[in-house]
Amino acid sequence: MEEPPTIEAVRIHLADDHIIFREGLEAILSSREDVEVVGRSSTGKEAASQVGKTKPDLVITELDMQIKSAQEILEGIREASPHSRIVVLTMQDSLHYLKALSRMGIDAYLHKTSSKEELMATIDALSRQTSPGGQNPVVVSMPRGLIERLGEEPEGALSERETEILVLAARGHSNDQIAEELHLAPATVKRHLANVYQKIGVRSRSEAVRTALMEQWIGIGEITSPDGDGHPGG
Amino acid sequence: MPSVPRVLISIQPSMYAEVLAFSIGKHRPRAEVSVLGPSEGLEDALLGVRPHLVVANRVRGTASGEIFWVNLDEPRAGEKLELLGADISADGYSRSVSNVTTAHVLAALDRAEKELV
Repeated sequence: MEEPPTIEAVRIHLADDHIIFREGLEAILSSREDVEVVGRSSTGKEAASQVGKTKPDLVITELDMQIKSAQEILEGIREASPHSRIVVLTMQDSLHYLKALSRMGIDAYLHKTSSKEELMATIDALSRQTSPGGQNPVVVSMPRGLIERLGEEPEGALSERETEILVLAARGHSNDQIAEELHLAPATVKRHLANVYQKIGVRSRSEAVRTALMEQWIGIGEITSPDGDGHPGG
Repeated sequence: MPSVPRVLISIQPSMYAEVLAFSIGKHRPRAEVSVLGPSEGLEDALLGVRPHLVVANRVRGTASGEIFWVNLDEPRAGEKLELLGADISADGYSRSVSNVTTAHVLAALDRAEKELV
């Protein structure tokens, strides 16, 4: 008789100083067959000292607002466990803070007003990615209302076609694949992407995707549902 | 039909309410847990749910003989992380804890079940 396929669990370290929240989160995550909580700590700093032993796939951590200490913690985690993806789950709602963390190479930024389903979707999305630490776009879940409250307008307005190409790039498609999917010449795709970089002031595909996600020009649902409609504005 | 302990959770942010509801359901499967949305009124919910234990923030309640309370601080953004304190009011006694745990809430629920159900 054929044995059922084994599920390789995503191994997670949880760091949050709110014990009641951390315990509940662990209970929810542990209820999934494909998730194993391998460590827990009250702070990101403690996490950095623990993950060297457990080498989790994912570190879900709260960070305080001080950029310098956040950077030290993130560097500590990266040094101790270079292949761990880092999810910042926080109450901080500053776009500037989000941008700073993004430059530090976090893999996801979730505001604590997100739902547990959004957290699960983030874990699923990250577990499908192949390389941690800035090689992939940052996954962001932040209430649109908070973004609006911050009063910051997007720096560049992308056309529908540019956004469409950016979504496909965010899904990891090459220029040739995008060209094939949209029935365009590869050179046209390249030109559109060059326009995108210029409009939003970035120099690479990953920076462009990261900025578009942060500014909520594209959404996580668009890049994690390749079979969905996937068309920006559609 | 025997009564079951009823818990009403009215805390923000919503992820805190969701994880606490899950914890209570896991550890006390007999309990009926209701989670109040951010736009729903607590007073109406108190009449509708008739909880034995309320876990809330923003509202200050005391053990009335009919309801026990756990009042949590509301997490907020800030320069430094802050512990999540709570005032627990049950069965004529009241205590404050500096960093509330699931066990604190379960203890209040157990006491509520013993005294009120």
